[in-house]
Amino acid sequence: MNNGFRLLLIGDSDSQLLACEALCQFPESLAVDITINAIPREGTPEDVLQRAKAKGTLWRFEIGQLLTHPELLRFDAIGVYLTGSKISDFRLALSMLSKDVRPLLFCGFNGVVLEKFQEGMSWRLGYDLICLNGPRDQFELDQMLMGSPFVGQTTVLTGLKRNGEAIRPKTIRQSRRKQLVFAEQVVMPRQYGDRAELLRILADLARRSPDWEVLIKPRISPEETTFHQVDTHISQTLIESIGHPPTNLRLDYRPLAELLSQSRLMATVSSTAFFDALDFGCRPVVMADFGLDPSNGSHLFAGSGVWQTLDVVEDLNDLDLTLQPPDAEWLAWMGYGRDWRPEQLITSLQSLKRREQPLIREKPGYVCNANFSFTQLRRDAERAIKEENWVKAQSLLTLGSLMRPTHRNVAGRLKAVEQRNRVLRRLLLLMTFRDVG
Amino acid sequence: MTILLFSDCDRSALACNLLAEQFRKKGQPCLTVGHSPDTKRESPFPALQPHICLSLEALLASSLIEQASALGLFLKEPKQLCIFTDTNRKLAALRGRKAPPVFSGPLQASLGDQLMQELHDHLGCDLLLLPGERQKQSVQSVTQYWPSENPSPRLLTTGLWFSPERPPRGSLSGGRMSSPHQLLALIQDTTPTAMGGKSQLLRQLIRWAEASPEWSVVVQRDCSWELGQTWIPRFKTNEWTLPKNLVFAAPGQLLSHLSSCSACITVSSPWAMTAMTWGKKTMILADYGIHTKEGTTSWFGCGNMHRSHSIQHLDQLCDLPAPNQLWLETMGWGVHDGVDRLIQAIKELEA
Repeated sequence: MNNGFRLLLIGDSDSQLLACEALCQFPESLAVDITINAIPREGTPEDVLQRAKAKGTLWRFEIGQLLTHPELLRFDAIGVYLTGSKISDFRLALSMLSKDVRPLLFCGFNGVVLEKFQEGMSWRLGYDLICLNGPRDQFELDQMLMGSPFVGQTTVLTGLKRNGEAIRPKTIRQSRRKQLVFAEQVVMPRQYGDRAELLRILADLARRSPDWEVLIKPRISPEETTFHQVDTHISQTLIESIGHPPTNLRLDYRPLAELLSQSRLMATVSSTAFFDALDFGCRPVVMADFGLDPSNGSHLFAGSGVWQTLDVVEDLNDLDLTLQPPDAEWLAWMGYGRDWRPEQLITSLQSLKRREQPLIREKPGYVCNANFSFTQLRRDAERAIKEENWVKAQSLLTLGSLMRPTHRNVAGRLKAVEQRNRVLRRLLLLMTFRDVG
Repeated sequence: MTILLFSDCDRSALACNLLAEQFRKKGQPCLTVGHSPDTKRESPFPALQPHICLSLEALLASSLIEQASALGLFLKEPKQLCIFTDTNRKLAALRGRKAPPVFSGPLQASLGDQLMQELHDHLGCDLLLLPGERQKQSVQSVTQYWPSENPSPRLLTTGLWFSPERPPRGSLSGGRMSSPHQLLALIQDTTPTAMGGKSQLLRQLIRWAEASPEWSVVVQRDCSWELGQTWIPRFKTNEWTLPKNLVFAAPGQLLSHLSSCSACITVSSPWAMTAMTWGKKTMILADYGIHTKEGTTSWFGCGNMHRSHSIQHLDQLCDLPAPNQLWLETMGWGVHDGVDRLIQAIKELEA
């Protein structure tokens, strides 16, 4: 019998699984028994799965299988790292049960939130606990909820120190290789022209620094997939933008941790890898070459204290000598430092188990996306059809067709329930039936 | 010395006109400059002629700019702002004089990603006008660590100056609603974003109009459109049976309809804020959730988001609760001396 804290983490895309992995740095004294469920998905990088497996038990169940898994209710807490509507669906499915019999439910974000914070938060409201990175996220949330019925939402700051304290990085600069690692983000910058320009800047920097190696760490390999869809893999953009790259610039698919452990410098536009670099003793620099554009996350990273236009840097030797450490206050604001750790998640969950939580009561005029799950709406409509409550079914399906005007099944079901002739209605309902769970 | 207010579209012309009127009341000389109304477009706002018709490029070369104590620039294309301020500063330096301070700002109260984009769009100005404390705090939070070589403009909360503070004389009702009732549906160019979304919204408005024949429903576009361009792409009148009590608003009448309506409905039009502050019953259609692309994130917490299925008869709109006052005030309604603050800030920038 395991007397520890049983934790289930559910992730879908690779970045969500990486977020789950980053959470799993609990001290032994907490005796956290970790299970990670990676939703089966084509293209999930194998090394991400292996790393998840190394943290405890690895499950590969679909959401429906998970919800009916006999062991589900034996967990003390479940962390849900899925996309917006699925986060909401999972909570709605389990929240029918009392908190006394069900595991506590928590969720969070994958790394630094660069955009759509309000939208993302709106899917998460109602969870027993929401993990935030640091004071910046907390401020944004407080602003958002001020004066609303959701103001009692419980949160915990778990920080951006994602690689544990156990790492003892080589801190002496000279003992590291003359390497600059560039951590690619698949949509930052998003425009093809900017991505080509980015590679041109890195190539020129490599040419100006012949005694250095510039390693571009692609976010995914060409056959893998991540949360964001990409049309052109960076390997293709590299050929199309600079043709033959300089001999000291190359794509490197080794794990980022390995590259950061041996390199002197790491460059990024706005990747969470910035904080990983600090964990591994690699000095980060943020590319200022694309300005303060918020669609690149640059408005946040501009305050890092290491915001540099790489296109005008003399060479990497010069950058290596002159680069200052990141601004400590900015790091703290973002959530990087000793004050916020994943173990605070377990402490918060344990304390939530013991005490009554203030209920978030629904109030007319206030909505969040958590009540707007399209799937849940369809399920409610099907329930109303079963009960032959045609007015309710019609109303719900009308809402469904407003949310997804091109959804054929919802349109079909709506037509069916609008039919006054009983026989025809029955026939149409039979013809348009789909199992929505 | 005179303050120049430059506008290049119908929306910014209205805002500049409102601001010029407030300057005039404070005894501050002010001239509106800009394009004359675009005859190829219809506008929901009254046609306003600036005091001086000039393009932005012509303004740069004119002697007007040399006589200005400050310049308010409200442009449709934000990229032009940076180009203009940069060129103006260089030209002024060449002429051995100081360029007048430039102020600008968004013409709506936004939050989240939209606000950050607006900040980015206005980085070239000296003074950034923001509606309320929430906008100011959010911008300050992000810019507090920015490097000194990329300073953020000075921030000033000036309230909802870009829309009329109150309806025209004789239109104040103290919240009393009397029949015949009118529903003003504020429709937007880019929302709802889903394919077929606009048609669905119109069908909902038709259903309401049919269920409430004693109401009139006015469907009002909230921004300008090209002559002859329908709100719903490929909209054919003969394919729709519009009830007699539902009409599309005539051009130029948005403010008039806002003042005479009993209630107002929208997905996320910024003019719903004006309806709220004028005491009109306002419903933000909650059916679209809180989504950046639908423009609804700024309305989270307003207290007026309701699903369409909660309204069967339009009389139910009369019972809607008032908006969240704290939300409204922090979004700009709490600032009533915006023009005084602006005059003071301009003086400080000039010094």
